Amino acid sequence: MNTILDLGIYRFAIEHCPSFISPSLAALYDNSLGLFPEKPIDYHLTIKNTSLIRRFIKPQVCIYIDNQRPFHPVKKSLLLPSLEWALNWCIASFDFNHLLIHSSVIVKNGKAIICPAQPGSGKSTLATYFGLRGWRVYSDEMAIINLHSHLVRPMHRPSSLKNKSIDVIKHLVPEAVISPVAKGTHKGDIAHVKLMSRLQYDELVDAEVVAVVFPKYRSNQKLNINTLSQTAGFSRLVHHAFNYNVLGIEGFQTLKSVVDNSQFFDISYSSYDGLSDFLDGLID
Amino acid sequence: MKDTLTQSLFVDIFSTPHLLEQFNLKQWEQLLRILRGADMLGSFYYFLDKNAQLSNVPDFAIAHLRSAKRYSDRQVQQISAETDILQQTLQTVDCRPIFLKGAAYVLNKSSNHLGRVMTDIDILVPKADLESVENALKLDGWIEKVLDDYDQQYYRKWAHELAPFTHPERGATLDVHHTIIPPISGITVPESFLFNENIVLEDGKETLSESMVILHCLVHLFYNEDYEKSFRDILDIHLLLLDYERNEDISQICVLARNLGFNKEFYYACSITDQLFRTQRVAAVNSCITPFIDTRLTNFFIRNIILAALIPSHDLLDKRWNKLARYIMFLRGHFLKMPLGVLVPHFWVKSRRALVMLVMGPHHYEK
Repeated sequence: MNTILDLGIYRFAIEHCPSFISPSLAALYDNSLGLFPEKPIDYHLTIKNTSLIRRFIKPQVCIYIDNQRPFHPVKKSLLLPSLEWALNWCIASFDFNHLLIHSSVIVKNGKAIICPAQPGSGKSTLATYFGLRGWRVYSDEMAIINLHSHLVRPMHRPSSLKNKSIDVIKHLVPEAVISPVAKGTHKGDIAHVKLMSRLQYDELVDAEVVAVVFPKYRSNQKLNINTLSQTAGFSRLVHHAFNYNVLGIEGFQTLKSVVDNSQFFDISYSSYDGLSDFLDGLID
Repeated sequence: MKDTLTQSLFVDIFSTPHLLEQFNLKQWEQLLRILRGADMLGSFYYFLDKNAQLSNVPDFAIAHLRSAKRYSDRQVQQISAETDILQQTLQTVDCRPIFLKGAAYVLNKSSNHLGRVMTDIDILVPKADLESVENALKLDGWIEKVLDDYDQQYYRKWAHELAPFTHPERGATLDVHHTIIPPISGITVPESFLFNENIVLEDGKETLSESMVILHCLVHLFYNEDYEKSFRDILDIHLLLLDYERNEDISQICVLARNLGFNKEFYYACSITDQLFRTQRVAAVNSCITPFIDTRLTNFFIRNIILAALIPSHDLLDKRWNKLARYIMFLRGHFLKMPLGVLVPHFWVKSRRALVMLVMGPHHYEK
């Protein structure tokens, strides 16, 4: 079965998409699944079985991006996280029309806060929580910044939670739409969370970045906020950017404009109480 | 016009770019996929630019082409920086490397350097300097790539280069050659052709002479065994020849090719570019070359095998014959580079591995 994922900014085709993940895709992607079948596709993914015997014994699936195979094959049950990584891989490998920063992006009142962090720092969990509590998540994985307007652009995608964060979100937001948990990926257990409908996504517009918050989840720690200088913030943003080294002068000008408009903070926290007031304060 | 992009339509674009004006969005989508698979997206941007076709490209496609252009522009810039550093590093052991292939195209600003993506830098050094070069590179932080035992042994014993080096800090890969064709092929290119009469650029960097650059490019293609992405190589040869023909007579390369024993390969290049890009090169070199080859057999081979193998490998274009032709070229490439006494054991090891991978999946040997 061939299917289309329209993320707004990018359109993906998935060839031979096995029917067992269709319910998850339909729940997470809402009407973005199969949207605008007549429009051209940016990136094509093809899902293949790895060998004849593997079809029957320990079945594996493998994702091809045209002729490339960036990932190791995985058990069938781990296909959904792999698919999500393949989307990220395509964007990060092929899109040099935007400055891409490894970061989640949350937006309220048309103002964006980006939260760059290493994997495991809690940036997706933070985005998921606030995405289910009145903020709009433009992405839980990368800030996609236009090189001309310097505004951050929204993608229609679910967020991705790892290990303990899955239970944290299930506990804090019991009504959240969460995919079945894929157990035992190379990053641990993974589940995806729907953050908005396509209708809600269609209302979003590109937003100005007003603050950069480097989050660090630490168990049993009170909220701790440190202000950073713009110079320190600039160099940390460079460190988290996927393609800054490729974009040259355009990348520098885009980043400089983001830095000029932003306040910078290091935060550590163990609960979202209090964090909410802090974040609201940044967009006032 | 139908929706699908055929092999002949894909090829015709390069001689008749205004065909693109009739392309619908679905055809553009297919074209971009094929070009991306063939590492040609960035080059295609510059091809359109040169042919004043950029303004006719739909927004959907131009975004992808611009993105690829940005990436390749940066790579070209990186090549300049990397060659600077290499030149300095090897100066410490009194060696002046000859830059080959992609690096040479960039340094010489050949027409084919625009939009290029490169996986590595290639240099040529005299065989006598290999050890001191290896040591100097290691001092600068280059690390010899870890290969499995079998491949390592192959490089050491039979190839015309050292195992590739990588530079973890700068993310570069380097191939160090001591000649331009594996010695095991039985062909030796005298060092005087490689280290004299070179192009010396303003900053002292060197590449092979213009005609040797072209010969190297076509030897590289026609002694190769992997034809998945070789459309780019034949386009390289075509563009290099176009540059050459602007100032020189192509029959001069013909004489050089004959002296070095690359008659047939040069004929392949002329005949194939004639057929793909509508040039008249065979006519221009006819008297110089045809007395020395069996044109009927060669033309049959070109028409039925090489041309089919050169079509970019992609599900959208491939017919069964293209895959078979590529496989024939694969066997041929090995055969040319290895005498049977080496080839048979080599295939034995590789095919045993292939069999294991067929049963266990293609990823069995990955660590």
